[in-house]
Amino acid sequence: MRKSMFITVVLLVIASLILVACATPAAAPAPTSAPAAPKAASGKLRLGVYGQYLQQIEFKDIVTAYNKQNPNVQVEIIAIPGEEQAWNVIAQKIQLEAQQKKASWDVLLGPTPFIEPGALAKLGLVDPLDTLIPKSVWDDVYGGVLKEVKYTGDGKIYTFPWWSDVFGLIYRPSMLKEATGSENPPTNWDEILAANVKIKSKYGDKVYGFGMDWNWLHRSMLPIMGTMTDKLFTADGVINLDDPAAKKTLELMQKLYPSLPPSSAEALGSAKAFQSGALAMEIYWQAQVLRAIQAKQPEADVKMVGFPKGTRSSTLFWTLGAMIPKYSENKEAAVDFMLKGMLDPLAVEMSQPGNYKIVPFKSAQKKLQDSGKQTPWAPPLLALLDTSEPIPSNQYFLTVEQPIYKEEIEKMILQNQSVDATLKNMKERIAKGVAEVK
Amino acid sequence: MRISAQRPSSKPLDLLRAIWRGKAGYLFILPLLFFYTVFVLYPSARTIWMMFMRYEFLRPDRLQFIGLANIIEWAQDPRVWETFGVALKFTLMYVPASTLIALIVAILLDRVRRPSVASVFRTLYYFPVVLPAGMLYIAWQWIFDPTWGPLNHMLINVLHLPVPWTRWLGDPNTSLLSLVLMSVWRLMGATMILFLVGLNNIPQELNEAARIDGANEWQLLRHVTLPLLAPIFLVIMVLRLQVLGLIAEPLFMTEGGPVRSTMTYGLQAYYITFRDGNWRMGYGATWFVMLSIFSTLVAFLGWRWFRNRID
Amino acid sequence: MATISKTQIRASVLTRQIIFYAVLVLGAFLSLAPFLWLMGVAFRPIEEAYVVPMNLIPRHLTMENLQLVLDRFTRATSLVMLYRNSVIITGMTVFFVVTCTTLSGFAFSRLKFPGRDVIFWLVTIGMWMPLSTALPALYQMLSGFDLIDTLPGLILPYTGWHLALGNFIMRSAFSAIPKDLEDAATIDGAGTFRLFREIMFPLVSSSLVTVAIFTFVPVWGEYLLAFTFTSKVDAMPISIGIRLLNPGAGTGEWTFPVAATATLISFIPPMLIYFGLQKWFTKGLMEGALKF
Repeated sequence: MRKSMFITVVLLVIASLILVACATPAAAPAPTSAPAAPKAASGKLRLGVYGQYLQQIEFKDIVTAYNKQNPNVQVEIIAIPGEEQAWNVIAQKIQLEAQQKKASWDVLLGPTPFIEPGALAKLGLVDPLDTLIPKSVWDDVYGGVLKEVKYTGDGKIYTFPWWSDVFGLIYRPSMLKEATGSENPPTNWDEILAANVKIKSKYGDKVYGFGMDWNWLHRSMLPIMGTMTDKLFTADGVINLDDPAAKKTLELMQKLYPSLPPSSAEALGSAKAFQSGALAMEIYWQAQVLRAIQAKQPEADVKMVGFPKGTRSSTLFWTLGAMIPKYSENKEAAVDFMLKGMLDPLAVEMSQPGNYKIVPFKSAQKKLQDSGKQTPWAPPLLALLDTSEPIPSNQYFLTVEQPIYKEEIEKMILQNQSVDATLKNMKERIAKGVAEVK
Repeated sequence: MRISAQRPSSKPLDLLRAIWRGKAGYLFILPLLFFYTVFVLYPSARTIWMMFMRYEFLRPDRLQFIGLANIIEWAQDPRVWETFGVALKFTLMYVPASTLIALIVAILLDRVRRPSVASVFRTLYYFPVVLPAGMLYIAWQWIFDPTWGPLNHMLINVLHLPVPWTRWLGDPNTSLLSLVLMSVWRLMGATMILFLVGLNNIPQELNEAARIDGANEWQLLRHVTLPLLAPIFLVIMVLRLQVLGLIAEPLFMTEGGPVRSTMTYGLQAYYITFRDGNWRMGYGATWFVMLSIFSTLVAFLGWRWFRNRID
Repeated sequence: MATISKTQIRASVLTRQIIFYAVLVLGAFLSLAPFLWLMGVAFRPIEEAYVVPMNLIPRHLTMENLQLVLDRFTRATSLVMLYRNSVIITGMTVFFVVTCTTLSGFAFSRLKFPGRDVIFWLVTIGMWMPLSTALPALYQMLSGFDLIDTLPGLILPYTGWHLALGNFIMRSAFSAIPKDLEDAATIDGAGTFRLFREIMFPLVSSSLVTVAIFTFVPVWGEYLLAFTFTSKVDAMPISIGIRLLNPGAGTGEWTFPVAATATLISFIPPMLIYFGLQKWFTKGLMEGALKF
């Protein structure tokens, strides 16, 4: 009896040890040093794509189109369970792999310049693209986007831009007509406040006037403030709270708050109200037009125009793009895929109208326009792309500014903290946070 | 057994002899120790080591041994008490509510005579526990949605109840309560099962003996059932202590807001480690390790206290 | 006594029974309600989903949301492979945890050896150890063993991190067994191993199932380790697949019924296993009851 028990225990330990031993992957080890670069890219390319994009875009078609131009590269699409909120998990994974001089992906498609590259460029875990991509291609990018993809720490480009989201005013003409007598959307903040009053008196609690996600810095304060000053950021790329526009923006937000749907604290809360026909106007990017239409709001009754004006015309935008990890095993193919695959006419046409996205290359937009495929909402947004300030790609926007902003704005809106106190707290706390990070 | 009490042996020899006599025990815990040491203790030891380092994830160049500086900073950090208070508030709402409901349900289920009926009910009550939590958080955000969520619709339009608040997760006064509500719903079944296991282990003769002695249901509960469930209460208490380190619910549903009303100790530690500034992993590790020490201490003392009372 | 007729007694017993079951049914309904509502959303046509207020019960039912989700899922990855991985990972982890903790629970509660309590509390402290901070060290170690992107690379750490709870439960289970039983067996001349295998082990089977389920649930849904340690589909578990279905803020084409359907799909595997295991679960409990 004793023996059999003893043997069981020993076997268990041995079994687990064998499990460890057997687990060595059979795959041949990849060559660590890249062979002397031949001109034409070839070999295997592991293309990591965020799952959220894979769901809606036929990447296989893009790869097929790319292989028509260069059949020597075998593209393997790897789904990454990445989301905006999980960017730190991705950064950590890349960092851990880099310590072993490895990378799971040769090129990574899905990051947004102000989210992942801020951390990764600082750690030197992604490669700068300035010289890898020809200058003629960079010259073709809209000015605002070109500024956006540069990491403010060293001024180098780490993201190859692909599809942009641009803020504009999305509205329901029929509701505006019933409430204000005119289908035409308000063009500035005063008109929006006036329209809110009329919508409230017409619909009561059934339809809210104006929507935005008020506790996200880049979805409320930044785009509004951009319409009141041309000095949105300091030289360091930190939000310029000393500018009088900051105070004006906070005051405006206080006035807008009563018209917001009650769920607008959560991400896309206002978008959901708009999709349900309970909101007349909202400031969001194009995807929300598509969502409203897919939620069966009548297509003719969902319109988008440029962002409301303050003292000047401006908007906010961000661009989803591609990065090359430092330990990518096939950088030539990665660059080749960026230039030929991501900018293939097929991939450009997928952006508009189907996916409500903007390819931020001037020549691509010209081609869309010439072939009559450009959508009506695109030109007013494109007009703002060259002049607007992008969200800086740096190490403080998400890690210092956004959390402090969220907390202080909640105090102001939900707990009646005065505008002056809010501004003062934000200034002090952000200055301290930025100093710590430096 | 008494033969071993030989006088002239020295202390280390005694210990060796005791170890030899306990060899069966070591053999039994060997597999556990193997997995635990290699995959938990060793990496955890490195975490503890991080407490004494200035280790910032985004500034690897500043790695440096700084002794007790992290611990001193932790002791003086006002956020420790503030966020611990939030976690404690959550615990004080959640643990009694969920334990009491689970106990009542378990006692009721224990009285269902037909095993098949009891099994159906048990299955239904336990059901929410097995659902993947990550997706439930999203679903409950919809449920709490003030505009078209079913909760408000149910309470206001269908049941016509005078609801004093309607914003649930979006209101600093009710956000924590909303998380409690969801957690009670989600995990009540797990506590219920523990109680059921405990109830099943109570010998039927004891109950019958008490009934013959003229005890009514309440007395039976008070003097037979509850005392015999004592070990289960202990298990539940130890299990629920994990709530003090609550991260996932506020992280996915409220991000600690609005106005830090759901910023639990665990979430604050998580943000220090993985979101804020340079990701101060060394300092974040200090927060986590301190909580581990505290939780274990409470569990240990509770266990001692319980054991003394049972004996 | 004579004043209370038999029918009256029967009536009062009946009323009690009705109230008793009414409470149980109401409770069961409450615990199912969010799930039922979610099902109502998943199978309703989109026209009925974006209305304020949204009806609790859909007027029409449709399968088109399911079709949409399946299309999207196949576009992203292989469903079958993910399921297979999850079953292996979770199954092996549960097996290891149950075996290790049954043995250790017995030792910690019934055997005496130097350092017993210290070791026990050292293991118990693991319940509050945050996995996320130990992640870098674990990664380096597994990478050294060449275990990244393999199934054992997840099974082994999962086992380690789920021992503490099982160990605690099993220790309590063994402690609950009356001392007389042990004494009787010892007098019969049973050694430690026979005592464990023939006397004690059958008595803790219900707790064993409890440990199995308590291990199964978190391992099935674990995300952080799975994400960091796997990137290829041949080692990735379904918990990652679930994440692939999450909506992103930047993308359109993601409506609420579609998201609800995706959620339901992610619920299917644990539901199947739960209802499949239900027999064992019940049997385990009943066996435990019969033995006393």
